[in-house]
Amino acid sequence: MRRASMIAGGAVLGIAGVIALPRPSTPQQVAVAGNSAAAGSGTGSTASAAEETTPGTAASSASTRAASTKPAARTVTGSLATDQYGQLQVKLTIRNGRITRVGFSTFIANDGHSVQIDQTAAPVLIRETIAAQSAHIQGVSGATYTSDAYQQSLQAAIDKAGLNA
Amino acid sequence: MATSTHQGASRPRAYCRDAAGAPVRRGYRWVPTLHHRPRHAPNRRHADVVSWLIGIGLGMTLALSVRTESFGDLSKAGGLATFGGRLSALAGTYLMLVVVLLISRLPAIERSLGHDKLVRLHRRFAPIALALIVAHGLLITLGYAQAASRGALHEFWVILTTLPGMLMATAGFVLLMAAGVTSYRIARRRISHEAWWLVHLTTYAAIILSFFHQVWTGASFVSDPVAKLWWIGLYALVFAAVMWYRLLVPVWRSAYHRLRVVAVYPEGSGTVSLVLKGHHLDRLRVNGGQFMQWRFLRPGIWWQAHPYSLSAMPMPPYLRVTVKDLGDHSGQLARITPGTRVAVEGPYGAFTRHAAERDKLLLVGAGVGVTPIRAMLEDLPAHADVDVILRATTEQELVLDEEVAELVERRGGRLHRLVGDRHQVSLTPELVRALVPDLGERELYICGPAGFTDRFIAVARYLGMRRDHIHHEEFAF
Repeated sequence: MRRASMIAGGAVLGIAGVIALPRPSTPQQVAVAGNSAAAGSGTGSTASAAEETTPGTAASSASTRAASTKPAARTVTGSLATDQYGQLQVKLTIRNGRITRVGFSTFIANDGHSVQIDQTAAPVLIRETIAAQSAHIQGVSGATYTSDAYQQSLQAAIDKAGLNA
Repeated sequence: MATSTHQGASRPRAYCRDAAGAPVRRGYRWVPTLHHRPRHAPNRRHADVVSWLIGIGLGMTLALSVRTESFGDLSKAGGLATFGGRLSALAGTYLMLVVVLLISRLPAIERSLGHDKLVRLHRRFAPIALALIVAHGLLITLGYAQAASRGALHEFWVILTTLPGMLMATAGFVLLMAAGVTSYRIARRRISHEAWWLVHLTTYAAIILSFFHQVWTGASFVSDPVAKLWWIGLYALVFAAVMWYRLLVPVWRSAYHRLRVVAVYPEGSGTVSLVLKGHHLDRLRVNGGQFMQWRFLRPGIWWQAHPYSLSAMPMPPYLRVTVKDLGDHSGQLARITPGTRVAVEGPYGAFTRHAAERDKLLLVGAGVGVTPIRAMLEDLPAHADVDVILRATTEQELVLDEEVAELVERRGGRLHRLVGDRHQVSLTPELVRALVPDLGERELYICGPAGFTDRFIAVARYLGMRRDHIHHEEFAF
């Protein structure tokens, strides 16, 4: 009993200690499988330009290698789309007029819950884009803001690349 | 009535004999000795400090996870379930690390709380940790499914296949559950101790496997470097304690003492004493009543560790354990011949003179449970006033009783032998009061089979003994 109250007292101290600590700055890099920007946990304003290959395969080193050895591929960056939950910027890899990879040069969420939603939504959005080869995708329900921002940035990238989709 | 009470009776006997019953070489003759030099008292404050630290850690862990949440998040679809899932993940994992720490042989808690109490705490809280981790999996899946408007099973599949570290975490979860299920009493009775131990060993792998999904996807760690650092530090600390106290210290100690079996001789029905010879045994910090984990380095049995009490204080260069040949290794004791090398862990246990606050003691040993009592009798302070009760079903099972009688006589105490089956010796308050009239002034040390110790403790409690004046150790680990 005596030790149980020590543990309880310690817990109160621990909680108080954390409350006294300064809060971390909130906007956070979203970790997307295959996007090496995910490796950094800081407030990453300098996101690296790793790309997503076909859904499921996730090797950031492989994507950089692929980009340097195949000159036929080009990359296009979309517009920076911002909403109340964060901001993102799509980066496409285009080979022979087809979108072969989708990555993010920026993908920041404003809070922890949005990080989770974005992490779940991103692979689906990427898969849909590669299947549709256009910005006319279904989006992810439950991640409406992310889907809209994504489509907006994606459309800008497609326009810039001159793909007729 | 098969009860006989000897007032400090002592019969001469050669304590060490070989298998043929002839006294073994003089060097192994075990002379009961009274040790009056100060021993190694545990510091109870250490356990208090560890309790405070565990509490502070719990508070920090919970607070670090809550502060990444906002009220806005909670009201979103699936927000509440996700929040509950995260909280139970952190609480469950923290508790899991604590129960691992409890059995890490950390001296600060091992020496003051005692090994069997720590194992009991481990058994009580590990299932709670597992339940919290199960809740974490369910709640997170539900929360994410609501957020993404998907079916729970579909969402589970998406989480498993898209989030980093999730396959490893799932494998770890399966291993943890296996360790939990095999530890339930019903399962423990059906599988061997070794099979249980192997399954339990994989929980270390399970904890490491589940670590990666925590730091890669955990909301409080992805977005908060302080929380991430704290979490990694916590894992590193527990990992270091386990590696150090459960692996490196025993290996070092075994190499330092280089123990070998030098004699094996029978003590009574199915009970043998092993005499071991080693180096630097004066440096082994033993209190009478403690046990060690013994590994006999012979093919096929070297990987099994057996908890045996020292049945006498070390007499450098010798140690002695007295063992009843039961359980999984029955028959294996025959393979432990003189010359066998032995690896050790310990000594462990708080069943020592330091647990008592009074000088008047009642020591009770049933069957082979006499062994820690026998060692403690050598180690008690000179002014200790001892009453000893030895319990056995037959005279042959009354082991080490001459040695106990000699020590009790030299201390001016009283020895009572209770021999007979449970119908002949019925353990009633009247009997105990007749044997030990001043029970209320004594502290009780009791070691024996669970059925006997439970009954005796119930009687002692009935006679008004305070719970904190009862010290017991079960030898059926």
